[in-house]
Amino acid sequence: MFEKQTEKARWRSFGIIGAGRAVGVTHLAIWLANYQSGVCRKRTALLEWNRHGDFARLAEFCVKKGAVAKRFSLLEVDYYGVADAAVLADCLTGDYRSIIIDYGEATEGNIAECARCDRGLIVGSLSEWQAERFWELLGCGVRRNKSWSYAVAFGSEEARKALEKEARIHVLRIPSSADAFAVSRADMYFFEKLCGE
Amino acid sequence: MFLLPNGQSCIRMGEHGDDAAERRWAAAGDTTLFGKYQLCRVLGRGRSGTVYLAKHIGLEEYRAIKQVPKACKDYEQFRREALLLKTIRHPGIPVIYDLESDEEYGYIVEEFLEGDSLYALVSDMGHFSKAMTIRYGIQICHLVNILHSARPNPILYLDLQPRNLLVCHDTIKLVDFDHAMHLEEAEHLTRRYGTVGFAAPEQYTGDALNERTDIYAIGAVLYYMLTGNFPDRNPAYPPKQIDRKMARVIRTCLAEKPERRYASAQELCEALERLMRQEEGGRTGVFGEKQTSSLTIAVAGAAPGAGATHLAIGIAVYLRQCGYFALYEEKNRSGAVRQCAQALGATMDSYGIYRIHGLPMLPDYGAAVRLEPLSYQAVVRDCGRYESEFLEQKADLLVLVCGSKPWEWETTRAVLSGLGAWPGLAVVYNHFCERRGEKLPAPHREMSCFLMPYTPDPWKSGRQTQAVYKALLALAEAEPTKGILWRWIQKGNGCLKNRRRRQDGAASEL
Repeated sequence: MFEKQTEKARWRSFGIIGAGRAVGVTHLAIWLANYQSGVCRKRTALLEWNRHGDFARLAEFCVKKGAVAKRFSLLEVDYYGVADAAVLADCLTGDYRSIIIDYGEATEGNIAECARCDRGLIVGSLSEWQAERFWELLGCGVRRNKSWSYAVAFGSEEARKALEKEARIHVLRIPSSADAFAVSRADMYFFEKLCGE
Repeated sequence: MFLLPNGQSCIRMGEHGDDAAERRWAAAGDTTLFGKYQLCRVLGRGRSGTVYLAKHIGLEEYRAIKQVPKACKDYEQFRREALLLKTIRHPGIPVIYDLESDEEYGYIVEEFLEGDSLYALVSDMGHFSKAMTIRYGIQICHLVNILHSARPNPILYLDLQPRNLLVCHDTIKLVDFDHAMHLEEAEHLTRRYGTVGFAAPEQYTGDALNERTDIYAIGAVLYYMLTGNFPDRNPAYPPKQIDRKMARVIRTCLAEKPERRYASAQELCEALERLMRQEEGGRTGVFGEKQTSSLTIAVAGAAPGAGATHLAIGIAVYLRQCGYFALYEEKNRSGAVRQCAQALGATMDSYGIYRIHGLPMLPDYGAAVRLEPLSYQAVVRDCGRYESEFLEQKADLLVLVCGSKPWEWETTRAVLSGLGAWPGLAVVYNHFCERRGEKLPAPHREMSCFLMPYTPDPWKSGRQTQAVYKALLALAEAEPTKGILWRWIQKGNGCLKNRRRRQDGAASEL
């Protein structure tokens, strides 16, 4: 009559890291945050764990001209620019149910940190001039950790299938998205797969 | 003649089913057909083949692909189905996009229709109300009439049954044209297929088939929708739950001799439309005059747990039982719809709507979510806990749900005193049970007040509860009246009784 009780964590963390620059990590992180907040209706925090300064520019553009906010809210998502361990600790003890961390480009230091998230995602590009970096990252032992998920936005379908076959990994295709602040029903199918729902 | 057991005609694998190929296809999400269709999953299996859901890679649109082995005896019939369908253009009939073949199989690429089969819906809900049955029945008649009106050769469907009728956002669609054929071919047909309970007597005996064969099946589907049961071979006396006029229509459809049935789907449709007008003739206010425009009802609870969600679902279900396409819209952060969907295994459709026990329910979404809009005749908005913004809702009726138990009175009194006079707002005391000496906190005299009896399941309401819903909906159109109108539900007879409150001041309690 009664279902078996299972203990669930109060929050879930997503770490997103890029195999190279300009592969779409920040775009995907913002998009995922809007999915978690807008569709799953979870209180969501998005942390910028890199020094690219994207969030400061976003704050200036969207929140207030001339403002360099370290914390601001957009469409019910809380953004934390240039976050550090103290900010992360605050988020973990706060009432967030979804915490997304934008690690930017993968480096030796941050890849191990990203792997500690509940769901670690490596975003690459299979465009001919960017694919090498993805292969390099896969070659340096990342594949041994089975918890990683992989996704690409750019590059041909043939290249994606070839990568899956050769590296024996499943690589998700990130659908084209012009606006990271808009989630359509078709996008939800992708996020359901990405989040493992 | 080959007739299958009840309702099973299009579900089992055909004699030529290639199981290995099936497994390979079903397992491989990455299988691409003709370089442009990515197969997603198996939608269903029929007597002669399998239907897959596929995604057109270039257009990013879903298609249904029907695959039939070339070795199948009915392969020619399969090709004929495609040629037959291409001549019909109607929103209720799938569009044929392509006809392809490879060494082993033939394929029809069709429009993918998203929805639940009538069979699944009736199984879930038990049976439909008379009003819903008539509405869907009229749509079925229109579809069959389109086929019968094809010129120069009318088309007979010949396997009309609940599994071949899809309900897509309250519109009936006809799928699986396996057995459809032109009238002149049907006259000389030797091998016949059908579904027991829905196949006309002449399909068993080998007598001539004509348009009245499909009329029999429509009657059987009407019977199934009303009762939830497959019709007997001798349904001359439909069960008591079917009212007299409806029973007469069904009996005429199910007459043993074809010449005693309705002559055409159009004639049957007119009979159903007459019944619908009679149904609506007895309705007042919103049911009668506002049926073409949309109605919005906003519901909020005076306190968490007061029962706003319960009441909002109940009103939406009641509207659907009256034959109106109503939507429950969640406008609060409780996550009730998602929890309900998760618990019952319901999946979201392409409009972001869950269908739970036949009721379309739109969960709460954030501002970032962009969904295609769908229009409904009525929307019941669940605004959750009462906040002052609730009064700014653009709605035909605002309903405030208050607890009727003594420990809830203080909260209720605080909310009501803060409200003042809102003539367009109705106050509902939930789960009311009358006790001597207990006096509920009274709203302002210009507001209508209702006492809702205990209703354990919002999807199944009793007569007394329905009487409250009816009175509430009548208010949605009525001009606000001066003075307070109390509607008491009299225990035992389920009727509403009006009692005018004394006009000499605003006493806080009754």
